[in-house]
Order: sequence, then structure tokens, then C-alpha cells
Amino acid sequence: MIKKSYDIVIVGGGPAGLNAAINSADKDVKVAVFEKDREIGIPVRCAEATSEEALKKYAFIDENSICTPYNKFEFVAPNKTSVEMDAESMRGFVLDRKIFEQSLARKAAQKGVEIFTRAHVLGIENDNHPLVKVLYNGEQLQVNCQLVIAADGIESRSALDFGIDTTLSLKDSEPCYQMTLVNMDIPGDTLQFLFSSEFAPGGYLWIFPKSNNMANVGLGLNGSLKKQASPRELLERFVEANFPQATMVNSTAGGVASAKNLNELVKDNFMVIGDAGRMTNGLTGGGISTALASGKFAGKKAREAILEGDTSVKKLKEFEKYWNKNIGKDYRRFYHLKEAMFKVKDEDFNNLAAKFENVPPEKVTVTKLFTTLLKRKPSLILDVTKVFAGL
Amino acid sequence: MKSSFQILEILKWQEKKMIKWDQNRCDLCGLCVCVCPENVFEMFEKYLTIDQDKCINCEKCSIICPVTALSIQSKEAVND
Ligand SMILES: Cc1cc2nc3c(=O)[nH]c(=O)nc-3n(C[C@H](O)[C@H](O)[C@H](O)COP(=O)(O)OP(=O)(O)OC[C@H]3O[C@@H](n4cnc5c(N)ncnc54)[C@H](O)[C@@H]3O)c2cc1C
Ligand code: SF4
Ligand code: SF4
Repeated sequence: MIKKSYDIVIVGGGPAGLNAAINSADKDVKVAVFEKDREIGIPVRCAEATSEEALKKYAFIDENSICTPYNKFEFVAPNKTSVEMDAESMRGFVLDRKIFEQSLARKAAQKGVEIFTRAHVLGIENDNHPLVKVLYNGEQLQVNCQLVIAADGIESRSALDFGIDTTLSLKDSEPCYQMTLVNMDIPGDTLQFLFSSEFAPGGYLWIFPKSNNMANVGLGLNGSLKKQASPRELLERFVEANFPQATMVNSTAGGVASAKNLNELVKDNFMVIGDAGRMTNGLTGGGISTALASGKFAGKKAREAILEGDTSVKKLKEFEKYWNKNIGKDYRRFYHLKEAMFKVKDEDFNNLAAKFENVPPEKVTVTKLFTTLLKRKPSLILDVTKVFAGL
Repeated sequence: MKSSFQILEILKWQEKKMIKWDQNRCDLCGLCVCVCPENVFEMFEKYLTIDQDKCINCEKCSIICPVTALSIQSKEAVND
């Protein structure tokens, strides 16, 4: 049963919320996670690729949740010329996210975290301390705590209750559609990125293998561009034309916030992390690694704050500063890179691919590709390897 | 008797369009929730709630929806 009070309430049981729980709880710090859906890990609205380095650094590697390891990238230009790149230093895994999140949940439970599914947070009042209103089993309950961590994903409304505006502009929102297809014949170790103003204006298509036979195939486009068809229709057309033999076992719409991180990540008694904090990589749309990283850093700081009895904004700013210095800074760069990429035309991609077509994969680097593509903006090119290392 | 101000308000209300949500198309991706400047939507596990009174008809939600589940229509069309 949900108790009347906890030290920390975490809204949302995705990778960000669960990792914050793991890093904040023990016998001295009581933590509850409220998740609105009935099961941790579903629905999966994600292409499920993330880097090995990020998993090791911010969480752990759970063998059971790995579908396939990848160590190559392939970039395909609109005219289908492709450039292969050896990505050993940025290698990672295509996960089964449901299994992965459930293993995060198990770990949290071992630390004494109480996880409640079908627990929808309706709103939070914050007078002297937060009072969380939660709809659980059809009943509206009120739960007291010292600190709230909002990890409620792209659909977050918790931050608004603390006066942080999370509204996204159309140009910073990417409507996506994805299918999981079987009966494919694809390299199991390669993440494919396809550029095409026809199918994914202002965004890209992805083919991420779950095995040699199965893949997450999807597309995301920039929300500010006028589109001839919805992402769903565009993907249907693409799949019909390119994988007529494939069969769909899952399909989902999704939204990516390709925004800058929020300026404010903390208030008195409040922190916001993961997609709710708009922490996605603006260029790739990847957000698992930042969800885990922000969960870890915020969780540790929250724990310290509870033990010191100081959950003031001044104390919690230590998390914000740490974040901005270590990760936020790079992610702002990715955002500017995204804006520059926006101006790249189909023919620029074709020319780029033609230049690199016969270069051996081990000689191709992300930096070389971007340098060639964005000649006019050399200031953006520094250290772009990080773009995919943090996928 | 209604004042002219009240009549104006009523006319405005009648003119105002409403959001029509097609539950069968909606995939609960959350994008409408985060682009709406007036906080009209809330996403539950299996449905959205829509606070029509707050809507300012900016159409951002219907533009962003990946599966065309939202449209802005006149009141009569929605109520039919
Ligand atoms: C189509 C698509 C493909 C993607 N592909 C990749 C990829 O390949 N690699 C990658 O790194 N990233 C990818 N991403 C991004 C990645 O999925 C997210 O960045 C990541 O899930 C963020 O984790 P999170 O914990 O912050 O949020 P989420 O995983 O969204 O979790 C938030 C949780 O909060 C719950 N919640 C929301 N509101 C409430 C409430 N009021 N009360 C209780 N619970 C609530 C939700 O039900 C949800 O479970 C993709 C995204 C999309 C849409
Ligand atoms: S944007 Fe469309 S699919 Fe996504 S939640 Fe809103 S209505 Fe549903
Ligand atoms: S039209 Fe604008 S104000 Fe109305 S619900 Fe849609 S996004 Fe919100």
C-alpha cells in the first residue's frame, strides 16, 4: 500500500526515475516511485539503442536485456549511396527495453524502493513541503514528502506545478513513427541512419537491428516543417518500397523533444530529469543515456539533501551545476548542430556520401563527416564523436 | 435581457472551435501534451483528457500529432 509519507517521491518509472531511485534509496532514505502505466517497461516507444559506455558509467550491463551489440554505423544519403563507419569506440547495444527497465526496477526494489504501477500523479502542491496527489486504484490519495523528482517523460506536467515551463516549440518537437519488423535481412551489428527530405524532412530514418532478422525501423521529422503526409503514412510507404517481404510485429507513434535542456532543473524540494527535463540529444534523439545519467546524479544529490535535511533550491542547484558542466554543455552543442543540419539539403548529403563512398570504414569518423558537411560552421565541429557515444 | 457584452461573449463562444480527438487513432505518444501552450491535455494510461475551455485554437497539437488523431473543428461538428 502507498504510505502517507516518504522522503522522496519520484514521478515516472522509466530509466530516469528508476535510476534516480536506485541512487537515492537505502534504509535511511525512503523512496517511492509512482508509475501511471500498469507495468514497468511498456509500452516501448523507443528504438532501444544505447552506448555501452553510458550503461557502464551510469547504470550496469544486464546481459538478459541485450538483443544485439553494434559496432558499426552506416549513413545512407538520399540517393542511397552509403558510407560505413567503424564505431568500435562508440559501440553499444540494441536493448530489449522492457527487460532492461524491469531489471532496473528489481535493483531499485532491492534497495528498498517502493514502486507502484497504475499510480497516476495528478498534481503536486508545494507549500512548506510537497504534497503529491496520486490516483491509485481509482482512489485519490495524498502523499507527503521532502523532495519530488519529476521523471515523467515527454508528457511531463509535474515541472509546471513548480513553475518551470516545459512547453516545446514545434521546431523542437519531433513526431516519430516506428515499426518492429521481422523477416528482414540486415547486418546485426550496424545501426543505419538514412537521410531523405521525402521521408524524413528535418530528421532521419533509422534501422536498428534486434538481430539479423528483426529490426526497429522508424522515422522522425521536424515538427515545424509542413509535411505531405503523417509520419505513420510516410513510414508505411518507406517500408512497402524497401522491405516488401517484412512483417510487422509492433508499431508505435512517439515523440522526441529535440530541445535544449531546460534552463532550470531544480526548485525548492524539486528536481526534474530525463525527457521531462528535455535532456534528449537534439541531433540523434537519443535519451536513454541522459535519462540514466541524470537519474544517477540527481538521485545521489537528492539522497545527500535528505540526509542533511536541506532540500532547498540552493542545495539542489549543486545537481544543476554538475549537470550543466558535465553533460548539459555538450548537449547544447548538439542542439546547435541540429539547427545547422536543418539547412543541409539532399544534394549536400549525396555529395558527402560520394566523397566518402570508397573510404574504408575504419578511416571514416563522425568528425570528418560533419566537417565536410558543415564546412561553413567550423565552430560546431569540435568533438562531435560525443554525439553518438552518448546516443 | 442580456447585455451586449454577454451577447458578444456568447457569439465568441459559438465561434470558438473545439479539439476533436480520435481515440482509435491516438497512440498516446505525449506530443500534444508538450506542445500545447495552454496545458489543455493530460495523458493517462489509456486516454487523454482535454480541457476544451483553456484551448486558444493555436492548432499546434493537430500539426504535431504523428497519426492525425487531432483536428480542430466547429462546436457542432464535434458534438455530432
Ligand atoms: C520513436 C523513438 C525512438 C527512440 N529511440 C531511442 C534510441 O534508440 N536510443 C535512445 O537512447 N533513446 C531513444 N529515444 C528516446 C528515449 O526513449 C527517451 O529519451 C527515454 O525513454 C527517456 O527516459 P525517461 O525515463 O526520461 O522517460 P520515459 O521513458 O518516457 O518514462 C517516463 C515515465 O513516466 C510515466 N509518467 C508520465 N506521467 C506520469 C504521471 N502523471 N504519473 C505517473 N507516471 C507518469 C510514464 O508512463 C513513463 O513510464 C527514442 C524515443 C522515441 C519516441
Ligand atoms: S499527439 Fe496524437 S497520438 Fe500523440 S497523444 Fe496526442 S493525440 Fe495521441
Ligand atoms: S489548439 Fe493549441 S491551445 Fe488548443 S489544445 Fe491544441 S495546442 Fe492546445
